[in-house]
Amino acid sequence: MPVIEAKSVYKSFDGVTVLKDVSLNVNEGEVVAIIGPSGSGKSTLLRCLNQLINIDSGSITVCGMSMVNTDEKGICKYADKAALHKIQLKTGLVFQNFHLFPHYSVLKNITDAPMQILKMTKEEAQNKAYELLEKMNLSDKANAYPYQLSGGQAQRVSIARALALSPAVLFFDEPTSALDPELTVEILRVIKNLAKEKMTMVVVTHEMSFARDVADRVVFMDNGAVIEEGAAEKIFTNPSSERIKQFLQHFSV
Amino acid sequence: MDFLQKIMKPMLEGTAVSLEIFFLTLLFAIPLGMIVAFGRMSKNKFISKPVRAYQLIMRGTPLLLQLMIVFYAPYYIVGRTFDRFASAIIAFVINYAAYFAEIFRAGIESIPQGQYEAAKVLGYSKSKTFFRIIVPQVVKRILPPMGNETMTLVKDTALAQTIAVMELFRVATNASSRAFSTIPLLVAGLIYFILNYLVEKCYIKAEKKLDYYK
Ligand SMILES: Nc1ncnc2c1ncn2[C@@H]1O[C@H](COP(=O)(O)OP(=O)(O)OP(=O)(O)O)[C@@H](O)[C@H]1O
Ligand SMILES: [Mg+2]
Repeated sequence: MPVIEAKSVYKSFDGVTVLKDVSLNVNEGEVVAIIGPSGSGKSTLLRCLNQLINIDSGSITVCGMSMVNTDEKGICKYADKAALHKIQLKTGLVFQNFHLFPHYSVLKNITDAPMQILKMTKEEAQNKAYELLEKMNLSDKANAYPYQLSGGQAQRVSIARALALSPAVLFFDEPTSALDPELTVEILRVIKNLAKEKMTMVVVTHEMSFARDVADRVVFMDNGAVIEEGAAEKIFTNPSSERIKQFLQHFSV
Repeated sequence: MDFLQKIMKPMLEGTAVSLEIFFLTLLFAIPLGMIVAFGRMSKNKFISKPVRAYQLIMRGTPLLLQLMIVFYAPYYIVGRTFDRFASAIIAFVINYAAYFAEIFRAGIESIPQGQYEAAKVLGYSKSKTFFRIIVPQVVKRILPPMGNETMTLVKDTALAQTIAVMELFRVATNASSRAFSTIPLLVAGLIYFILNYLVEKCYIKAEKKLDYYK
Protein backbone atom coordinates (compact mmCIF):
# COMPACT_ATOMS: atom_id res chain seq x y z
CA MET A 1 0.00 0.00 0.00
CA PRO A 2 1.38 3.44 -0.81
CA VAL A 3 2.00 5.53 2.29
CA ILE A 4 2.19 8.75 0.30
CA GLU A 5 0.35 9.42 -2.93
CA ALA A 6 0.82 12.92 -4.26
CA LYS A 7 -0.74 13.64 -7.63
CA SER A 8 -0.13 16.57 -9.88
CA VAL A 9 0.75 19.01 -7.11
CA TYR A 10 1.05 22.68 -8.00
CA LYS A 11 2.29 25.41 -5.73
CA SER A 12 3.27 28.98 -6.42
CA PHE A 13 4.52 31.83 -4.26
CA ASP A 14 3.56 35.34 -5.34
CA GLY A 15 2.90 34.23 -8.91
CA VAL A 16 6.10 32.18 -9.19
CA THR A 17 5.36 28.51 -9.71
CA VAL A 18 7.59 26.48 -7.43
CA LEU A 19 5.99 23.04 -7.89
CA LYS A 20 4.71 22.11 -11.33
CA ASP A 21 2.66 18.99 -11.71
CA VAL A 22 4.69 17.04 -9.14
CA SER A 23 3.60 13.48 -8.43
CA LEU A 24 5.22 11.21 -5.90
CA ASN A 25 4.32 7.80 -4.56
CA VAL A 26 6.06 6.26 -1.59
CA ASN A 27 5.38 2.66 -0.66
CA GLU A 28 5.56 1.12 2.74
CA GLY A 29 9.11 0.29 3.78
CA GLU A 30 10.59 2.22 0.92
CA VAL A 31 13.38 4.79 1.17
CA VAL A 32 13.16 7.54 -1.40
CA ALA A 33 15.90 10.11 -1.92
CA ILE A 34 15.05 13.43 -3.49
CA ILE A 35 17.95 15.18 -5.16
CA GLY A 36 18.23 18.25 -7.32
CA PRO A 37 19.80 21.68 -7.53
CA SER A 38 19.15 24.45 -5.03
CA GLY A 39 15.78 26.13 -5.48
CA SER A 40 14.30 23.19 -7.39
CA GLY A 41 11.42 22.87 -4.88
CA LYS A 42 12.54 19.91 -2.77
CA SER A 43 11.88 21.57 0.57
CA THR A 44 8.64 23.03 -0.69
CA LEU A 45 7.44 19.56 -1.65
CA LEU A 46 8.25 18.16 1.82
CA ARG A 47 6.54 21.13 3.45
CA CYS A 48 3.41 20.48 1.39
CA LEU A 49 3.42 16.82 2.35
CA ASN A 50 3.73 17.81 6.03
CA GLN A 51 0.99 20.43 5.92
CA LEU A 52 3.35 23.31 6.61
CA ILE A 53 2.12 24.96 3.46
CA ASN A 54 -1.03 24.48 1.44
CA ILE A 55 -0.90 23.44 -2.18
CA ASP A 56 -2.74 25.30 -4.95
CA SER A 57 -4.00 22.22 -6.73
CA GLY A 58 -3.48 18.49 -6.98
CA SER A 59 -4.11 15.80 -4.42
CA ILE A 60 -2.26 14.25 -1.50
CA THR A 61 -3.25 11.04 0.23
CA VAL A 62 -1.44 9.68 3.30
CA CYS A 63 -2.00 6.07 4.37
CA GLY A 64 -5.21 6.01 2.39
CA MET A 65 -6.55 9.16 4.06
CA SER A 66 -7.16 12.10 1.76
CA MET A 67 -5.40 15.25 2.93
CA VAL A 68 -6.29 17.41 -0.03
CA ASN A 69 -8.07 16.81 -3.28
CA THR A 70 -8.84 18.79 -6.41
CA ASP A 71 -12.09 18.08 -8.23
CA GLU A 72 -12.82 18.24 -11.98
CA LYS A 73 -13.80 21.90 -11.68
CA GLY A 74 -10.33 22.63 -10.32
CA ILE A 75 -11.46 23.41 -6.81
CA CYS A 76 -8.79 22.40 -4.30
CA LYS A 77 -10.18 21.30 -0.95
CA TYR A 78 -8.44 20.24 2.23
CA ALA A 79 -9.91 17.68 4.63
CA ASP A 80 -11.44 18.85 7.91
CA LYS A 81 -9.35 19.76 10.92
CA ALA A 82 -9.72 16.43 12.71
CA ALA A 83 -8.69 14.45 9.62
CA LEU A 84 -5.73 16.75 8.99
CA HIS A 85 -4.58 16.26 12.56
CA LYS A 86 -4.80 12.50 12.18
CA ILE A 87 -2.77 12.69 8.98
CA GLN A 88 -0.27 15.02 10.63
CA LEU A 89 0.54 12.31 13.15
CA LYS A 90 1.23 9.83 10.34
CA THR A 91 4.02 11.98 8.94
CA GLY A 92 7.16 13.13 10.73
CA LEU A 93 9.66 15.73 9.57
CA VAL A 94 13.29 16.17 10.53
CA PHE A 95 14.63 19.65 9.79
CA GLN A 96 18.03 20.76 8.65
CA ASN A 97 18.39 22.89 11.78
CA PHE A 98 16.80 20.42 14.22
CA HIS A 99 14.39 22.94 15.82
CA LEU A 100 14.53 21.25 19.21
CA PHE A 101 12.60 22.98 21.98
CA PRO A 102 15.36 24.76 23.93
CA HIS A 103 13.43 25.00 27.20
CA TYR A 104 12.84 21.25 27.40
CA SER A 105 15.41 18.63 28.32
CA VAL A 106 16.24 15.99 25.74
CA LEU A 107 13.86 13.59 27.45
CA LYS A 108 11.04 16.14 27.56
CA ASN A 109 11.60 17.04 23.91
CA ILE A 110 10.84 13.42 23.10
CA THR A 111 8.05 12.74 25.61
CA ASP A 112 6.08 15.96 25.44
CA ALA A 113 4.25 15.34 22.17
CA PRO A 114 3.35 11.70 22.97
CA MET A 115 1.97 12.80 26.34
CA GLN A 116 0.25 15.98 25.17
CA ILE A 117 -0.95 14.84 21.78
CA LEU A 118 -1.30 11.06 22.00
CA LYS A 119 -2.22 11.18 25.71
CA MET A 120 0.36 8.52 26.56
CA THR A 121 1.10 8.13 30.26
CA LYS A 122 4.37 9.55 31.50
CA GLU A 123 5.73 6.07 32.05
CA GLU A 124 4.86 4.83 28.56
CA ALA A 125 6.27 7.95 26.96
CA GLN A 126 9.48 7.79 28.96
CA ASN A 127 10.02 4.10 28.27
CA LYS A 128 9.65 4.76 24.61
CA ALA A 129 11.95 7.78 24.82
CA TYR A 130 14.69 5.83 26.60
CA GLU A 131 14.37 3.08 24.02
CA LEU A 132 14.78 5.61 21.20
CA LEU A 133 17.66 7.36 22.95
CA GLU A 134 19.45 4.07 23.27
CA LYS A 135 18.93 3.43 19.60
CA MET A 136 20.35 6.86 18.87
CA ASN A 137 23.28 6.14 21.17
CA LEU A 138 22.32 9.03 23.43
CA SER A 139 21.20 7.37 26.66
CA ASP A 140 23.55 9.55 28.68
CA LYS A 141 22.04 12.76 27.31
CA ALA A 142 18.46 12.28 28.52
CA ASN A 143 18.71 15.10 31.04
CA ALA A 144 20.82 17.45 28.96
CA TYR A 145 19.36 20.58 27.37
CA PRO A 146 19.58 21.20 23.63
CA TYR A 147 22.22 23.95 24.00
CA GLN A 148 24.54 21.36 25.55
CA LEU A 149 24.43 19.07 22.51
CA SER A 150 26.64 18.92 19.45
CA GLY A 151 24.91 19.35 16.11
CA GLY A 152 25.01 15.62 15.46
CA GLN A 153 23.53 14.83 18.86
CA ALA A 154 20.83 17.47 18.44
CA GLN A 155 19.89 16.01 15.09
CA ARG A 156 19.65 12.51 16.57
CA VAL A 157 17.42 13.84 19.33
CA SER A 158 15.19 15.46 16.73
CA ILE A 159 14.96 12.13 14.91
CA ALA A 160 14.02 10.43 18.19
CA ARG A 161 11.43 13.14 18.84
CA ALA A 162 9.84 12.48 15.45
CA LEU A 163 9.94 8.70 15.91
CA ALA A 164 8.31 8.92 19.36
CA LEU A 165 4.96 9.51 17.64
CA SER A 166 5.45 6.33 15.53
CA PRO A 167 4.82 8.03 12.20
CA ALA A 168 4.09 5.91 9.14
CA VAL A 169 6.65 7.90 7.17
CA LEU A 170 9.54 10.10 8.16
CA PHE A 171 10.71 12.99 6.00
CA PHE A 172 14.19 14.47 6.23
CA ASP A 173 15.04 17.86 4.76
CA GLU A 174 18.80 17.90 4.29
CA PRO A 175 19.38 16.42 7.73
CA THR A 176 23.16 16.73 7.48
CA SER A 177 23.60 20.07 5.73
CA ALA A 178 24.18 21.94 9.00
CA LEU A 179 26.75 19.42 10.20
CA ASP A 180 30.49 18.80 9.93
CA PRO A 181 31.53 15.82 7.81
CA GLU A 182 32.19 13.54 10.82
CA LEU A 183 28.80 14.34 12.30
CA THR A 184 27.19 13.79 8.91
CA VAL A 185 28.41 10.20 8.97
CA GLU A 186 26.76 9.58 12.31
CA ILE A 187 23.38 10.84 11.11
CA LEU A 188 23.60 8.89 7.89
CA ARG A 189 24.32 5.77 9.93
CA VAL A 190 21.16 6.35 11.97
CA ILE A 191 19.10 6.71 8.79
CA LYS A 192 20.69 3.58 7.38
CA ASN A 193 19.73 1.64 10.49
CA LEU A 194 16.18 2.90 10.24
CA ALA A 195 16.13 1.75 6.63
CA LYS A 196 17.19 -1.73 7.77
CA GLU A 197 14.18 -1.74 10.09
CA LYS A 198 12.00 -0.97 7.09
CA MET A 199 11.07 2.52 8.22
CA THR A 200 9.43 4.37 5.33
CA MET A 201 11.50 7.47 4.63
CA VAL A 202 11.82 10.32 2.18
CA VAL A 203 15.19 12.05 2.36
CA VAL A 204 16.10 15.29 0.62
CA THR A 205 19.87 15.19 0.44
CA HIS A 206 22.96 16.46 -1.26
CA GLU A 207 24.88 13.35 -0.15
CA MET A 208 24.91 11.48 -3.43
CA SER A 209 26.82 8.44 -2.21
CA PHE A 210 24.34 8.09 0.62
CA ALA A 211 21.39 8.35 -1.76
CA ARG A 212 22.96 5.71 -3.91
CA ASP A 213 23.67 3.42 -0.95
CA VAL A 214 20.49 3.66 1.02
CA ALA A 215 17.68 4.79 -1.23
CA ASP A 216 15.53 2.27 -3.04
CA ARG A 217 14.46 4.96 -5.40
CA VAL A 218 15.83 8.36 -6.37
CA VAL A 219 13.75 11.29 -7.51
CA PHE A 220 15.51 14.07 -9.38
CA MET A 221 13.83 17.46 -9.29
CA ASP A 222 14.70 20.54 -11.25
CA ASN A 223 12.86 23.80 -11.59
CA GLY A 224 9.82 22.64 -9.65
CA ALA A 225 9.27 19.43 -11.58
CA VAL A 226 10.25 15.80 -11.24
CA ILE A 227 12.56 15.26 -14.19
CA GLU A 228 13.34 11.63 -13.62
CA GLU A 229 12.84 8.97 -11.02
CA GLY A 230 13.90 5.39 -10.75
CA ALA A 231 16.07 2.84 -8.99
CA ALA A 232 19.08 4.51 -7.40
CA GLU A 233 21.52 2.42 -9.42
CA LYS A 234 19.90 3.39 -12.70
CA ILE A 235 19.77 7.13 -11.93
CA PHE A 236 23.41 7.27 -10.93
CA THR A 237 24.90 5.05 -13.59
CA ASN A 238 22.64 5.49 -16.52
CA PRO A 239 20.34 8.52 -16.24
CA SER A 240 18.23 9.22 -19.29
CA SER A 241 18.11 13.00 -19.03
CA GLU A 242 20.95 15.30 -19.87
CA ARG A 243 20.04 17.53 -16.93
CA ILE A 244 20.84 14.86 -14.33
CA LYS A 245 24.15 14.07 -15.98
CA GLN A 246 25.06 17.75 -15.68
CA PHE A 247 23.91 17.87 -12.09
CA LEU A 248 25.76 14.72 -11.07
CA GLN A 249 28.98 16.01 -12.59
CA HIS A 250 29.24 18.35 -9.61
CA PHE A 251 29.48 15.36 -7.33
CA SER A 252 32.08 12.66 -7.43
CA VAL A 253 29.97 9.58 -6.92
CA MET B 1 13.68 61.74 65.95
CA ASP B 2 10.34 63.01 67.09
CA PHE B 3 9.81 64.61 63.70
CA LEU B 4 10.72 61.42 61.88
CA GLN B 5 8.28 59.44 63.99
CA LYS B 6 5.56 61.93 63.25
CA ILE B 7 6.01 61.80 59.50
CA MET B 8 6.58 58.04 59.26
CA LYS B 9 2.96 57.03 59.71
CA PRO B 10 1.53 59.17 56.87
CA MET B 11 4.55 58.30 54.73
CA LEU B 12 3.94 54.60 55.18
CA GLU B 13 0.28 55.11 54.35
CA GLY B 14 1.40 56.94 51.22
CA THR B 15 3.69 54.04 50.42
CA ALA B 16 0.74 51.68 50.71
CA VAL B 17 -1.17 53.78 48.17
CA SER B 18 1.85 53.80 45.83
CA LEU B 19 2.10 50.04 46.14
CA GLU B 20 -1.59 49.68 45.37
CA ILE B 21 -1.11 51.71 42.20
CA PHE B 22 1.94 49.62 41.35
CA PHE B 23 0.31 46.22 41.81
CA LEU B 24 -3.05 47.11 40.26
CA THR B 25 -1.25 48.54 37.23
CA LEU B 26 0.74 45.34 36.77
CA LEU B 27 -2.33 43.21 37.37
CA PHE B 28 -4.33 44.87 34.59
CA ALA B 29 -1.64 46.18 32.25
CA ILE B 30 0.01 42.79 31.69
CA PRO B 31 -3.09 41.00 30.35
CA LEU B 32 -4.20 44.12 28.48
CA GLY B 33 -0.68 44.39 27.05
CA MET B 34 -0.97 40.86 25.71
CA ILE B 35 -4.24 41.67 24.00
CA VAL B 36 -2.71 44.84 22.57
CA ALA B 37 0.33 42.89 21.35
CA PHE B 38 -1.92 40.45 19.50
CA GLY B 39 -3.93 43.33 18.08
CA ARG B 40 -0.74 44.92 16.87
CA MET B 41 0.43 41.68 15.25
CA SER B 42 -2.96 41.04 13.63
CA LYS B 43 -2.93 40.64 9.87
CA ASN B 44 -6.17 42.59 9.78
CA LYS B 45 -5.27 46.25 9.15
CA PHE B 46 -8.52 47.44 10.74
CA ILE B 47 -7.22 46.02 14.00
CA SER B 48 -3.46 46.56 13.78
CA LYS B 49 -3.60 50.19 12.59
CA PRO B 50 -5.85 51.56 15.38
CA VAL B 51 -3.88 49.56 17.94
CA ARG B 52 -0.68 51.09 16.67
CA ALA B 53 -2.22 54.56 16.84
CA TYR B 54 -3.24 53.94 20.44
CA GLN B 55 0.28 52.78 21.31
CA LEU B 56 1.79 55.78 19.58
CA ILE B 57 -0.37 58.17 21.58
CA MET B 58 0.36 56.43 24.87
CA ARG B 59 4.09 56.29 24.22
CA GLY B 60 4.31 59.66 22.51
CA THR B 61 2.68 61.91 25.10
CA PRO B 62 3.52 62.52 28.78
CA LEU B 63 1.95 60.14 31.26
CA LEU B 64 1.37 63.24 33.36
CA LEU B 65 -0.93 64.64 30.69
CA GLN B 66 -2.70 61.29 30.28
CA LEU B 67 -3.42 61.23 34.01
CA MET B 68 -4.93 64.69 33.83
CA ILE B 69 -7.02 63.87 30.79
CA VAL B 70 -8.40 60.67 32.31
CA PHE B 71 -9.33 62.53 35.48
CA TYR B 72 -10.57 65.88 34.12
CA ALA B 73 -12.04 64.90 30.74
CA PRO B 74 -15.20 63.37 32.24
CA TYR B 75 -15.95 66.77 33.79
CA TYR B 76 -16.20 68.34 30.35
CA ILE B 77 -18.11 65.43 28.88
CA VAL B 78 -20.57 64.35 31.56
CA GLY B 79 -20.23 67.26 33.96
CA ARG B 80 -18.55 65.46 36.83
CA THR B 81 -15.27 63.81 37.76
CA PHE B 82 -14.79 60.31 39.07
CA ASP B 83 -12.70 58.77 41.81
CA ARG B 84 -9.10 60.05 41.73
CA PHE B 85 -7.55 56.74 42.58
CA ALA B 86 -9.56 54.84 39.96
CA SER B 87 -8.68 57.47 37.36
CA ALA B 88 -5.01 57.09 38.20
CA ILE B 89 -5.23 53.31 37.80
CA ILE B 90 -6.96 53.64 34.43
CA ALA B 91 -4.33 56.07 33.16
CA PHE B 92 -1.45 53.90 34.37
CA VAL B 93 -2.97 50.74 32.95
CA ILE B 94 -3.61 52.10 29.47
CA ASN B 95 -0.18 53.71 29.39
CA TYR B 96 1.77 50.73 30.63
CA ALA B 97 -0.20 48.25 28.52
CA ALA B 98 1.09 50.09 25.44
CA TYR B 99 4.70 49.66 26.58
CA PHE B 100 4.26 46.08 27.75
CA ALA B 101 2.63 45.22 24.43
CA GLU B 102 5.77 46.29 22.59
CA ILE B 103 7.89 44.11 24.85
CA PHE B 104 5.56 41.13 24.34
CA ARG B 105 5.45 41.68 20.60
CA ALA B 106 9.23 41.87 20.31
CA GLY B 107 9.50 38.74 22.46
CA ILE B 108 7.01 36.75 20.43
CA GLU B 109 8.48 37.86 17.12
CA SER B 110 11.97 36.87 18.26
CA ILE B 111 11.04 33.18 18.49
CA PRO B 112 12.25 31.44 15.31
CA GLN B 113 9.61 30.23 12.86
CA GLY B 114 11.16 26.75 13.14
CA GLN B 115 9.71 26.36 16.64
CA TYR B 116 6.18 26.77 15.27
CA GLU B 117 6.93 24.41 12.40
CA ALA B 118 8.43 21.72 14.62
CA ALA B 119 5.40 21.91 16.93
CA LYS B 120 2.95 21.83 14.05
CA VAL B 121 4.58 18.77 12.53
CA LEU B 122 4.43 17.02 15.92
CA GLY B 123 0.69 17.63 16.02
CA TYR B 124 0.54 20.43 18.62
CA SER B 125 -2.57 22.56 18.31
CA LYS B 126 -2.18 26.32 17.92
CA SER B 127 -2.93 26.95 21.59
CA LYS B 128 -0.67 24.16 22.84
CA THR B 129 2.11 25.49 20.62
CA PHE B 130 1.66 28.94 22.05
CA PHE B 131 1.41 28.06 25.71
CA ARG B 132 3.84 25.12 25.87
CA ILE B 133 6.46 26.07 23.32
CA ILE B 134 6.36 29.80 22.65
CA VAL B 135 5.37 31.46 25.94
CA PRO B 136 8.09 29.89 28.13
CA GLN B 137 10.75 31.06 25.69
CA VAL B 138 9.18 34.50 25.42
CA VAL B 139 9.10 34.89 29.21
CA LYS B 140 12.82 34.26 29.43
CA ARG B 141 13.59 36.75 26.70
CA ILE B 142 11.41 39.57 28.00
CA LEU B 143 12.51 39.47 31.64
CA PRO B 144 15.22 42.14 31.26
CA PRO B 145 13.03 44.73 29.48
CA MET B 146 10.12 43.91 31.81
CA GLY B 147 12.44 44.52 34.79
CA ASN B 148 13.23 47.93 33.36
CA GLU B 149 9.59 48.87 32.89
CA THR B 150 8.64 47.60 36.33
CA MET B 151 11.32 49.73 37.98
CA THR B 152 10.16 52.74 36.02
CA LEU B 153 6.61 52.06 37.17
CA VAL B 154 7.66 52.20 40.82
CA LYS B 155 8.94 55.72 40.26
CA ASP B 156 6.09 56.72 37.92
CA THR B 157 3.52 56.10 40.66
CA ALA B 158 4.68 59.49 41.99
CA LEU B 159 2.95 61.12 39.02
CA ALA B 160 -0.42 60.25 40.53
CA GLN B 161 0.07 63.28 42.79
CA THR B 162 -0.90 65.54 39.88
CA ILE B 163 -4.50 64.49 40.34
CA ALA B 164 -4.13 64.67 44.12
CA VAL B 165 -3.91 60.99 44.89
CA MET B 166 -2.31 60.75 48.33
CA GLU B 167 0.56 58.54 47.33
CA LEU B 168 4.03 58.55 48.84
CA PHE B 169 5.47 61.50 47.00
CA ARG B 170 2.52 63.78 47.62
CA VAL B 171 2.58 62.95 51.31
CA ALA B 172 6.30 63.69 51.38
CA THR B 173 5.94 67.04 49.57
CA ASN B 174 3.16 68.08 51.95
CA ALA B 175 5.16 67.13 55.03
CA SER B 176 8.20 68.84 53.58
CA SER B 177 6.50 72.18 52.97
CA ARG B 178 4.71 72.08 56.30
CA ALA B 179 7.95 71.54 58.22
CA PHE B 180 10.29 73.50 55.95
CA SER B 181 12.45 70.40 55.74
CA THR B 182 13.81 68.28 52.94
CA ILE B 183 13.96 65.22 55.16
CA PRO B 184 10.54 63.83 54.13
CA LEU B 185 11.61 64.03 50.49
CA LEU B 186 14.83 62.18 51.23
CA VAL B 187 12.90 59.54 53.15
CA ALA B 188 10.56 59.15 50.17
CA GLY B 189 13.56 58.76 47.90
CA LEU B 190 14.93 56.07 50.16
CA ILE B 191 11.60 54.22 50.13
CA TYR B 192 11.45 54.27 46.29
CA PHE B 193 15.00 53.01 46.26
CA ILE B 194 14.23 50.14 48.62
CA LEU B 195 11.16 49.17 46.60
CA ASN B 196 13.15 49.09 43.40
CA TYR B 197 15.92 47.18 45.08
CA LEU B 198 13.32 44.52 45.87
CA VAL B 199 11.92 44.62 42.33
CA GLU B 200 15.39 44.16 40.90
CA LYS B 201 16.04 41.26 43.26
CA CYS B 202 12.85 39.53 42.10
CA TYR B 203 13.86 39.85 38.47
CA ILE B 204 17.39 38.60 39.13
CA LYS B 205 15.89 35.63 40.91
CA ALA B 206 13.49 34.92 38.04
CA GLU B 207 16.32 35.20 35.51
CA LYS B 208 18.44 32.79 37.55
CA LYS B 209 15.54 30.37 37.67
CA LEU B 210 15.30 30.36 33.88
CA ASP B 211 19.03 30.08 33.48
CA TYR B 212 18.90 26.33 33.03
CA TYR B 213 18.57 26.64 29.27
CA LYS B 214 19.80 28.92 26.54
N1 LIG C 1 7.70 30.93 1.66
C1 LIG C 1 8.17 31.22 0.43
N2 LIG C 1 7.82 32.37 -0.17
C2 LIG C 1 8.27 32.68 -1.40
N3 LIG C 1 9.07 31.89 -2.12
C3 LIG C 1 9.46 30.73 -1.59
C4 LIG C 1 9.03 30.33 -0.27
N4 LIG C 1 9.57 29.11 -0.01
C5 LIG C 1 10.29 28.78 -1.09
N5 LIG C 1 10.24 29.74 -2.04
C6 LIG C 1 10.89 29.68 -3.37
O1 LIG C 1 10.59 28.45 -3.94
C7 LIG C 1 11.70 27.93 -4.67
C8 LIG C 1 12.00 26.53 -4.22
O2 LIG C 1 12.49 26.57 -2.90
P1 LIG C 1 12.84 25.28 -2.07
O3 LIG C 1 13.26 25.75 -0.72
O4 LIG C 1 11.73 24.32 -2.14
O5 LIG C 1 14.09 24.72 -2.86
P2 LIG C 1 15.05 23.51 -2.48
O6 LIG C 1 15.01 22.59 -3.63
O7 LIG C 1 14.71 22.99 -1.16
O8 LIG C 1 16.47 24.24 -2.45
P3 LIG C 1 17.71 23.98 -1.47
O9 LIG C 1 18.46 22.81 -2.04
O10 LIG C 1 18.52 25.24 -1.61
O11 LIG C 1 17.19 23.75 -0.09
C9 LIG C 1 12.85 28.90 -4.46
O12 LIG C 1 12.95 29.70 -5.61
C10 LIG C 1 12.41 29.70 -3.28
O13 LIG C 1 12.90 31.02 -3.38
MG1 LIG D 1 15.65 23.01 0.76
